[in-house]
Amino acid sequence: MTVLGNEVLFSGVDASGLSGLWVTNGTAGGTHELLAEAPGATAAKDPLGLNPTDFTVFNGDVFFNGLDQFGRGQLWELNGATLQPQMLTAPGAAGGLSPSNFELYNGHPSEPMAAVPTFFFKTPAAKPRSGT
Amino acid sequence: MLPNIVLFEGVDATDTASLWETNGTVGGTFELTDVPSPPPLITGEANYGFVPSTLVSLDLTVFNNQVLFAGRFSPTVPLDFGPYTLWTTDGTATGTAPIPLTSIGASSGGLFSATVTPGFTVFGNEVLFRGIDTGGTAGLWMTNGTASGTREITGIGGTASAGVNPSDLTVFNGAVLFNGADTAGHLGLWTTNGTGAGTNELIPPVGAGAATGGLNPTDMTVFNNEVLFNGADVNGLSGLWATNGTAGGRTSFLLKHRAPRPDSIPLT
Repeated sequence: MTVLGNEVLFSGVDASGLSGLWVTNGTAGGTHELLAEAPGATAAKDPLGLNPTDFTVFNGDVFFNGLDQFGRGQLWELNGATLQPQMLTAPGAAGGLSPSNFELYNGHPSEPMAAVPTFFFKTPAAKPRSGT
Repeated sequence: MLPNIVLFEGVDATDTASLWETNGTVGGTFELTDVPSPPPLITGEANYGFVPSTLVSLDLTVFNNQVLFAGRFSPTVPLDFGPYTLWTTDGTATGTAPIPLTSIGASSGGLFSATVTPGFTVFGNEVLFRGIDTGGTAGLWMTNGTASGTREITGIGGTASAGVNPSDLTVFNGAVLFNGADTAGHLGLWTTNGTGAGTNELIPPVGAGAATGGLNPTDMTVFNNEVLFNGADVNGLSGLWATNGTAGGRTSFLLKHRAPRPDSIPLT
């Protein structure tokens, strides 16, 4: 679960058995699903649903790892104002980007990245042999 | 993350899983080492690195201008796979050191296991975590980042014989909530103030709808003066729960629960 302003985001299973993106304000009436699966997804290629993980709040929005319509992990962004999710990385032929372990970073004042707050994340290509 | 740098665990060309540093540039990304002819890369580190396991992480945790982490070490001669202990680092290889197991009453097999991440949680001027003592019991520990300041919290009543086995530690309202095992071995919601006497289980009132086999709270998240978590109800179904950190409070208030799919996390 991840706090975003006056609400909390989390991954939950809906009545269709899909693991989607949910939001709650701490009450039963204020708890609902935002997105069950990527547009165009089918049970054959993406039986899990969006399956969001690794929520990271950044500049008022939320970045996370979610499955595309082919069941591959991609980088998604949830607009903090509209609560509209969108996939940022395009589904590729091979495995998805599957970002994880997001880490915010503001850089050193003397370094080029200083004026551009950004974040790091891990992809399968950089996955350690052991550990996370 | 320390000021201006990010530490992370990574595997190098020799398959050693060790500690890396980056400032966000290629030139500023490197593996920490203070040993001329590795392995090991850092004095005291096991030959195959800190984390030769796919099940745990270093659990890197910023604390008082240093970073705590769990890693394998060589207590005597250099070992390929040593036991896990608590390490501290200032972001340099020479400033990275293990805390010896014998000095803190930890199991000779390791303060941490190869399957459970310690869950370091900063609480005031100390850090709480799950550790294993000389008796093999998985208990609640504290550290201030030094050997003399690292100890198991003793005197906790009502725990399982194998230990309270804390997980999901979450700071809330001057205390730390966690998932722990009681005398029946059931996983419930516990609270601690960092002392044995101040550590106890928050048992939901009868009729609150909690599972008789344990509420088993996970994914605890502080939100609007409460803590939301995933917990099990009387039917064994996962649901969204909230607590104010007291047994008589809103604990065991099931926000939503859905019956149709027994394997689902509730919420409809």
